[in-house]
Amino acid sequence: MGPIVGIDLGTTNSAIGILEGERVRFFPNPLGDVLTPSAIALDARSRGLIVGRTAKDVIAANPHLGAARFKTEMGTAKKLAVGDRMMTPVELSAHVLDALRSDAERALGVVVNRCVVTVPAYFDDAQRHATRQAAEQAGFVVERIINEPTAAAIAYGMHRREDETMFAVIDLGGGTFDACVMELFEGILQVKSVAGESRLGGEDFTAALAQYIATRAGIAIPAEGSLAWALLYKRAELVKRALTRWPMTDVKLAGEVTGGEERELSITVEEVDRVWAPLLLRLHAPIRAALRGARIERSQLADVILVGGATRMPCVRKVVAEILEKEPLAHGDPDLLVAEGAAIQAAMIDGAKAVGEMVVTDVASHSLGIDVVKLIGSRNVSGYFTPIIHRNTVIPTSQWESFSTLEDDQREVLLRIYEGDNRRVEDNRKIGELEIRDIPRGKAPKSFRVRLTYDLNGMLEVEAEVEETKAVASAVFRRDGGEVSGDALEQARARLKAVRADPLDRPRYRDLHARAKLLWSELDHRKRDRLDMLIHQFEAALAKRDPKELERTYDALLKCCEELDRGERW
Amino acid sequence: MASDGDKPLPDTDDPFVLLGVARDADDKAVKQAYAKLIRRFRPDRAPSEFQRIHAAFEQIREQGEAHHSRFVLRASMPPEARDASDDGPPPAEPTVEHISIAERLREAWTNPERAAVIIDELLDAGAPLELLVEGETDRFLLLRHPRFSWTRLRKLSDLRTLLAVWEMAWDDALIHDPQRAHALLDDEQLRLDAADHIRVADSALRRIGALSWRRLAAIESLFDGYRRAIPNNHYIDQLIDSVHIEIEAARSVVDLDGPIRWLTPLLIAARIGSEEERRSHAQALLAMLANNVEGVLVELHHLQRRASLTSLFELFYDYLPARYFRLDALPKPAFEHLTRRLHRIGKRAYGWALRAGVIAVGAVVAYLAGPLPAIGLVAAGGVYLLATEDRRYRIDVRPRVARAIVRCAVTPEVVARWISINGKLSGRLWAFDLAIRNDATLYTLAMIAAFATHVGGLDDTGEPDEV
Repeated sequence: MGPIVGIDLGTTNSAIGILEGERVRFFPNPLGDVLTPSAIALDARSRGLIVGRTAKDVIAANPHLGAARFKTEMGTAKKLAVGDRMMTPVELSAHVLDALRSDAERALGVVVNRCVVTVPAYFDDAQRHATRQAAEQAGFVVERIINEPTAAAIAYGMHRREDETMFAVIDLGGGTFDACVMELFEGILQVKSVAGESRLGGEDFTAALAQYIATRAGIAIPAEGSLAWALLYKRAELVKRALTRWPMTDVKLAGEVTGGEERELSITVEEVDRVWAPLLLRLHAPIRAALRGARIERSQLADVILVGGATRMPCVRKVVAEILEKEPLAHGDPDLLVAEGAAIQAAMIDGAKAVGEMVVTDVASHSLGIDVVKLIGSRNVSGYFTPIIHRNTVIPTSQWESFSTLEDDQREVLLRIYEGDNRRVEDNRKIGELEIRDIPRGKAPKSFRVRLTYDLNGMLEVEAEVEETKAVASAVFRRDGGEVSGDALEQARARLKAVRADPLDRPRYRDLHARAKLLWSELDHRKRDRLDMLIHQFEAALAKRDPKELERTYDALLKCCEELDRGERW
Repeated sequence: MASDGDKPLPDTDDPFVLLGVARDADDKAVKQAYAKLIRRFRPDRAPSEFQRIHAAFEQIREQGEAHHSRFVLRASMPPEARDASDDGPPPAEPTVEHISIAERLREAWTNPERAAVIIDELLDAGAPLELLVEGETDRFLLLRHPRFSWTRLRKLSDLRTLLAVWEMAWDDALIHDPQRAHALLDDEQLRLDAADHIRVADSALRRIGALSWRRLAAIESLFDGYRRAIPNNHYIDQLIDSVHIEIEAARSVVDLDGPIRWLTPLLIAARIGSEEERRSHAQALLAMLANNVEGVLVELHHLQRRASLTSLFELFYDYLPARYFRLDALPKPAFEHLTRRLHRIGKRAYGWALRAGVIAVGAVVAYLAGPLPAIGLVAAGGVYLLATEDRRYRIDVRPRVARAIVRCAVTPEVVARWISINGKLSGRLWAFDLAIRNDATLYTLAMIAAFATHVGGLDDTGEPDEV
């Protein structure tokens, strides 16, 4: 059995690590970064897929050639275009995971095929299942799927095992938002409550800012997927980052964006805070819901942990501080805390000494229940959701409720199992069905019990017992895809390999090439000549495969790029 | 260790036996026992044992919490309500009256269709709410009685009682009849009731243009009551969430750092009484303040060094136009009138400010004060609050300054007159009750109440002891 790694599969960036002794070691990608952007693009030359920072640049210059932010589409049937290929979010995530795995294998020198993957706490069953599928397609045996805030709390609690404290984890990632309340005592880390939104994150802030910049510049907001939008988006991202440090920043809009001359604008913190106000307001409800779920007052919180790159934004910090009446502290790198926790969790499953005494308990982030008919006035109204396992119940858990038949001589009942927290079933997500047969004839109501059992791996078991006959019907909704055989892992890997550009095929060159091309699209056409020439030389050297020539043109192009973007990658 | 590790979990439903702790074990001991057990029966390796251990742990903790929250609720009830139950006969020797109430209640519960009538009769006969609630009752039935509708409650003490009933009803159901408790959760009518209450609170929130943070706190505590009464109900959660956002938005307007806090009483004061009355009163108050300028100036000495009085006054002035509408939604002519007058007074007060700083600000407030001498208290109250709560000027001497001002304004005559108008002043809670009845003046009354306790010239019977 190989080592178990911890993976944070993020909306914007992903990371992989393993616990070594008391510390987590992160594996750098071929470009030397421990954060790998979750982006996939088609390499125009080799027709293979590339992953990471290079792909991100390719997408910015050629939006149709790749896909990013696909995590927000997990669990849907949507397909995204990568060049001429249509790919599902699961496939795309699998490529990211596979790239991470090869980074780990390269560093460790052994086969890595077991992992702990994190998901946003507010992910529902379908989204979790999709994540698991992605990992399996990447050739992993998924040992556990854990919630991102829980992972962050584990990383936080790892070195505070003696403490007795209650704290909140606020996780605003690229595309998802979670708020959690945790309790730590006697080396036990208990998640008390979870709330969140699976479609709110830093990327929304960037998009809102991009739209605002377009409005300020007096240009029409470009269509998503267009080059103008991609370039504008990149600018907005850089503005967002600059404004975490300065009260004001300048933004230069390329001719491609304005559709005419190059433009330069000044953006201040005050105006973007106004633009973001509606997004910031959406942070309130989940945080409050988490407090309420934990049944505590905010004054009982000893600490607030910020996770996710978007929590670097001062306005987010301010809002969190206002809601919780506590100044949040930075604990480690908010971008890596989740991966760190995942790696520690992996070590726990492995039974590592350093974490042996720590136990983590988590909760169900959504209610699970069935649909029922209600008697309102004298009418039967169907389609009401009745939770059996309430959200924020500690898992694993097994709960039951009594229900009864509606009609005389009713022999069958079809139970529909749903997940969610809305009163009406149509607003919740259906998980499966179970039919109860052979209910004895006679006058209604005949009662039966429904038991739901939910385990740590997200496996849901439904059991229904007719009280009169004690007959039991049951069904298992196994969402983990079952045991994956060694052969299947190999096949999965081979499938991915077949469509991927070799990650070690001169990643440095490929990255610079993508970066230069992106800069070229952003440049004013009058200033493009020099860059154009250098790119040409570099491409010629690539074609000739002359190492000396390659290094020379590489250095020249790199210097030019550094001058143009001042070393500021996005 | 080995023998300990092999021991199976005891086969019992008693949480204390399961965890192996004494019945009076403290929180720490319970946590330690729990931690030790779940290290042996980890959630991933022994799910069924873990579930039992965790359930036992929750059960013990919840008992502790329920006990705690009930205590808090009782302690926070107004003295009258508390007295009513505390002074009543101990349960061992109920009076004839109590027995008859209990009997009628029992009749009500066995006769659901008559229940409403019986409750009405009991209430009309003056049976205290507390007794109805404490009796052997089906409290959910009680909750559905129109008397308990939030919209009809006019006293804070009743509101608190209602919340207490919600909580007790929930406890009853959970302890004696969990099945029913779950059924109740799904009771559409009950949900609608709760939803109605929240909506009423919500619309009240919108209606009251001038929000005070104390009122927000009162409404929030109402929600907390619901939350406790009906936990984990997603429907109510959603409703509360929507209202909470409103509250937060309102709070961001109301709860600004700075002078807004004393602007609120100012604005309220400005609307009370005729101009004539206000002016005469303000002049009297100004004179009163002026007589004590010397004493206060000594205290102000430190203040002058740290915060520029000029900027203090400008701040006050800056806030007015922008926040005014949002706070009070006063008709425009009235607003302009007030602004003009403030400007005029402001100039005069500015001169004052250079000499006596905070006193002048207090004077502006006082000038606008209504006919009641109590408004003088409000004016002083604003300054007092500014002094004690405004974080922007964290100056140690402020409380002392403010208290000095309060002493100037709150003379025994003022208090005596206030008492003669209102008959009775039984401290802070009474003022709150009154405030609930008189809507927008909550803030005013809260101030008065605060002084009733802070100034120290009053005791709970309402007699000023220095008269």
